[in-house]
Amino acid sequence: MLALEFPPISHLFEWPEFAFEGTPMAINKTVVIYLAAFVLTLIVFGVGGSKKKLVPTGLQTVAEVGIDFVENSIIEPTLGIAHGKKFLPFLTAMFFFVFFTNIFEVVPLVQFPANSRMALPIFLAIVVWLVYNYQGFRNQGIAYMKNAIIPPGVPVAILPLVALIELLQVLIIRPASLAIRLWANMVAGHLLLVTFSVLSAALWDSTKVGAVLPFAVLILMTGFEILVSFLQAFIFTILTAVYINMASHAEH
Amino acid sequence: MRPARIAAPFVCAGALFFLAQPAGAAESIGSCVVEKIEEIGGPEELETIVEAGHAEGASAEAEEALVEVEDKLEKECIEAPSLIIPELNEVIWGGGAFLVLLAAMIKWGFPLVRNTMEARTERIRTDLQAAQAARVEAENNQKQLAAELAESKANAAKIVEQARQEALVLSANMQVKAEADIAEMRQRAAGEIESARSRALADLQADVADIVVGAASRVVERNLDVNSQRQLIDEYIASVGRQ
Repeated sequence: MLALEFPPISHLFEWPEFAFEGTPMAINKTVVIYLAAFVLTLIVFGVGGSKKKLVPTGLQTVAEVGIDFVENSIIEPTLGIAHGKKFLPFLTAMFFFVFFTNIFEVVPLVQFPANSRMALPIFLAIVVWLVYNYQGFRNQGIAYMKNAIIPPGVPVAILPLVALIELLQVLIIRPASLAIRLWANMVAGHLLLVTFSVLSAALWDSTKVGAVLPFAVLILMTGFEILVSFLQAFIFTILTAVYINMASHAEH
Repeated sequence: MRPARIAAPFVCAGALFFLAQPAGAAESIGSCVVEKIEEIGGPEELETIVEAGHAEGASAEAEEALVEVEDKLEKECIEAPSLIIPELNEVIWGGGAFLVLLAAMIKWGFPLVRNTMEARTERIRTDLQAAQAARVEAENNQKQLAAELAESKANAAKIVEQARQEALVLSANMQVKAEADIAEMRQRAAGEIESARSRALADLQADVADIVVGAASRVVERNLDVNSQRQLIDEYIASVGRQ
């Protein structure tokens, strides 16, 4: 459970169940990280929101800066403040949940990004797919699908091909790319850290001095993965906002 | 100092990561294989199965047992599970956690923080408006004070000018009065001098007459030569002086 020893290679991403084994409610390390991310997000907003200081500090700062960040850096350039305001709680919850599930990649003794498992990225992508399609039908009615798959100004000769591509994009490629991008980045980051830690450990056992370089790279990569954790949460959330915006208005 | 502070958490995290990995991947595969061999029945049992499976004319059961052992070791220790296919339990827990979180955020967490932020914005807006009103009031007060100051200065100048004019008039009056007083005093002094002189002249005339009468009476009493007359006159005068 704790990252106190190098796990079997199959457990780099798949952790053994330790409660409700063999049932759909089985709990493993990945599930614990999901729950920890859930609790952490609630703590940030629950504790941060209960403080009413004029000059915010601690968790109040984290919560308020988080909301400001989502509002100004994600909603404002994509949906616009007026139209996107109603999506602020959804996008804020998504950003923090994805970020916390990612950041456990570099948390000592945990060191596992829960989004390197496909479960959460694909679930969130399906939620996003439902939200932007609902928004499309709600704003444009039945014309949404026509507007989505038939871009204006396309020559009739290639229209069937373009329409097919656009249909695939709206229905499959957008959610799939959203999920795979997050998942693949976290898999790659985890493999990178594991590779350099294994290399450092092996070279430490054999040569001592030889471990210096991979260990230095490991430290750099740990810092880099903090950035990746944040960046992937940001990208996932901003693409969600972009897809909602694209579905909300017909192309002209 | 600053780069050192920034680097410290990374060094600690890296060290923990490093210390937390005592063995390499190959060792782990090895330990997994050892574990599975123990599950099968130990190395002797494995050797028996392998020899039986590879023996010439081995029975179908022996070959099947060998394939089963190889599959077990390969699937459970070497072959990685598919990463792209999500596990149902993780979808349920992860998805459930997100949906509950979303509901909690919409109903509770987000409004909690947002209300605090809006209350602060409102308070700052109110404070700014109050400050603006206070500034306008202060400017008005300043204008009023400036006007009052200007009026006061004008009044002061007027008073000073009035005082100057009065002082000039007073000075002129005082000068006239002083000159009149002086003239009066001079006149009075002249009068007094004149009367004193008259009195002195009168007294002198009387004294001279007495003296002359006295002297003449003496002269008449004795017919004397010039020297005697002079002596008599002198003696008389001296006696008059003694008197």
